[in-house]
Amino acid sequence: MQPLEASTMFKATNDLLLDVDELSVGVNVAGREIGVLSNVSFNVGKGEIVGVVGESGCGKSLTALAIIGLLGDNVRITGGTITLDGERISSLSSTQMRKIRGSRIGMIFQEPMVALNPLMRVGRQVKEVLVIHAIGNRKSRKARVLELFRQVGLPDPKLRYRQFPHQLSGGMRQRVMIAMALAAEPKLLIADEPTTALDVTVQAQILDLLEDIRTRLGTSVVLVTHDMGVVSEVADRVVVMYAGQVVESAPVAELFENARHPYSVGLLGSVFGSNFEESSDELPTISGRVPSIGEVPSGCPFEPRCENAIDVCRSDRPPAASVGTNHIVACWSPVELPRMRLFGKGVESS
Amino acid sequence: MSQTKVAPDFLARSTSRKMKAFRLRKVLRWWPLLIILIALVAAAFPSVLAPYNPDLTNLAARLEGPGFRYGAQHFLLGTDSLGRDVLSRVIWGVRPSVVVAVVAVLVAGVSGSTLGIVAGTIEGGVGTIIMRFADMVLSIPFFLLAILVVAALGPSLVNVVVVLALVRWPIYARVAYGQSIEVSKRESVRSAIALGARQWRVMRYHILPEVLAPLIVVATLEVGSMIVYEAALSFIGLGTQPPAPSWGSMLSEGEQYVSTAWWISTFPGLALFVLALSVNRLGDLIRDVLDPKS
Repeated sequence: MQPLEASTMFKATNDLLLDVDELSVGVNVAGREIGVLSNVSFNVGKGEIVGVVGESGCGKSLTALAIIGLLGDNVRITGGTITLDGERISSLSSTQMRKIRGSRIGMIFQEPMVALNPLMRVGRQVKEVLVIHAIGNRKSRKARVLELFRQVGLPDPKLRYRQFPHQLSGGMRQRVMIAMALAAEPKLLIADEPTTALDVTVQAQILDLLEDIRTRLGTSVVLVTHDMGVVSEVADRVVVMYAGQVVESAPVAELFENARHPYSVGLLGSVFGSNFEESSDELPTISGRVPSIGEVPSGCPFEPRCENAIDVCRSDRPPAASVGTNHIVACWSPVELPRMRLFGKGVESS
Repeated sequence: MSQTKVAPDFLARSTSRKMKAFRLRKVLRWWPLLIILIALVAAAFPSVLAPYNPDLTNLAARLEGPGFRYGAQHFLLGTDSLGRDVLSRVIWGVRPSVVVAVVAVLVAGVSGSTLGIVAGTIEGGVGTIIMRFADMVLSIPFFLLAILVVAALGPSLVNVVVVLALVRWPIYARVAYGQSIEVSKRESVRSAIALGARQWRVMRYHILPEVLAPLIVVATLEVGSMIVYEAALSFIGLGTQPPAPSWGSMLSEGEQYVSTAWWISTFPGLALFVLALSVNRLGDLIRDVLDPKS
C-alpha cells in the first residue's frame, strides 16, 4: 500500500464529466459550523454510471444536493470544488446554478409518489422543463414530450400526456420523473434512491431503463443508493461513503471481489451473506450505528464499529491510498487479500 | 338474495322517501346562495327592484310605519325622518355593501396571499419580515386605523376599501404562509427546483394551486365580515356619505328614532344580518366541499 499519487487516480481528463474534489460541507447549527462532508473526492466519466453507497445519514444525498447546488439555507460548501465538464460549478451564483439545473444536470428523486405535482397533468409537467429552459416552441414541445414518454417506456404516451399523477402506477410515475430529468438532455443524471420506493420487479425495469439511457444517450449517472444489489446491477464504479467521507472507491467488479475497507466488506456481507456458497441462516450485520452529526470521532469514523481497528485508527484519520487499478481505500488496517472469494460480478441481488 | 327480492313494499317506499328527504335537505343546505343571488341582483339593478327613488323626500309622509299609504304610494316598510321609502333605501343600500366587501376581499386577498406565499416559500429573512409586519398590522385596533386613514384621505367608499384591505391582508398572509411552508417542503416542489424552475414559477404553479382551497374559504368568510365592517364604518360616518343610501348610515340615522320609529333602523339591520349570515354560511359550505377529510 503506497500513498496516493495523482497518476494512479482515474483522471482521463477528456473523458471526465464530473469531478468532485476534496468537497467539504458544513452545517450551521446555532452559530456553530459542523462538518458533515469532509474531503469527498470522486469523479464520473462520460457515459459512466457511478454508484454512491452507504447507510442512511452517511452523506450520500447531501453529496448529490451539493452537486446540484441545492444545499439548504444553513448548509454550505466549506472547501473543495465541483467541476462539471471543465467548468467549476461549486462557486457559481444561484442564478447561474439554476440554469445548470435541469439543462446540464437532471435529478431524479426517491419517491415517485410525491415527487410529481399532484395538481398538474404529467404531460404539462414534463413540458414545464422545456419551457423553463426555453427549448422548442409551443408545437414542438408536445411532440418532444411524447417522444420522451416513448423513450422512457411509458405505454400509450398520448393517454399519459393527459393524465394526472394519481392515475399512474409508481413505476410509471418514476418513468415520468426520468422523462422530466431527461427533457433538456442533461449530460449528467443524479438519481437519489430512484428505486427504493418501488416493487422489486419495477426496480429492475427502472434500472434497465437507466442503463438503456446511458447506452443510447451517453448520459452519465450518479446513482445514490443504500442497496448494494442495485449497484451490482447497473453501476460501473462504486463509491462507498461513511460518515461524510469516501472510504473506498473501485470499479464494481473489483469492489465486489476485493473490497478492502471493513465497512465495504460489512455492507456487502449484510446484503449477500458472509459466504455466498454456504447459505447461512443469518445475515451478518454491522453492529452499532452511523455517528450522528457532530459526534464523528477524530480518528477513523468507522473505528468504533470496526473489527479490524488498531491503535492508530483511534487517533488519526486514514488517508486515501491506492490499492489497485482505480481502487482507492481510506483505511489503516484494510481487510487482507486474498479474502474468501465471495462476490463475483455474476452475483446479483438474491 | 331471494329475501331481499321479496322485501316488503312499504320498506322500499319508506327508504325512497328517506332518500328523497335526504336529497332535499342536501339541496336546501344551499339556501344562502339564494339570498346572495337576490343581493347580487339588487346590487346590480336596484332601480328595477326598488319601488321608489330612494332619495325622494316627502315631508308630508315622514316617520310613517310599515304599510303606510300616501295617495297612490304604498310604503311597505315605512318612511324615514325625511319621508323617504325605507324599502327602496334598503334595496339601494345593497350596492355599497356588496361592492365594498367584494373589492376589499379581492384587494386584501390577492395581496395578502401573495405576500404569504412569498414569505412561506423564500427561505431566510424576507419571510420573517413580512410575517412580523403582518402581526404588527393585526395588533392595530381596526377603528383607530380606519379613523386615521379616513381623516387623512377623506371619507369615501374607495377609502373604505383601502382601510379594509390594509387591515385584513394579514389574515390571508397567515393562511397562505402556513400552507406554503408545508407545501414548499414537498418533494414535488423540490424536484421542480432541481429541474431549474425559478422561484416565481414554483410559487405560481406548484404552491399557489395547493394553498388556493383554504384561501377561497377564508375569502368567502371575509366577505361576510367586510359587509359588517363597511356598515360599521358608514355608521360612524366614515363610509358612504348621506344622502346616498347604505345600511350603515341608515342605522345611524334611525338610531335617534328607535323608540318612536323602529322600522328605520330595524330593516337595514335585518338585511345586514341576513346577508352576513348567508355569506358566512356559504363559506362553511364551501369549506365542507373543499375539505377532503369531511
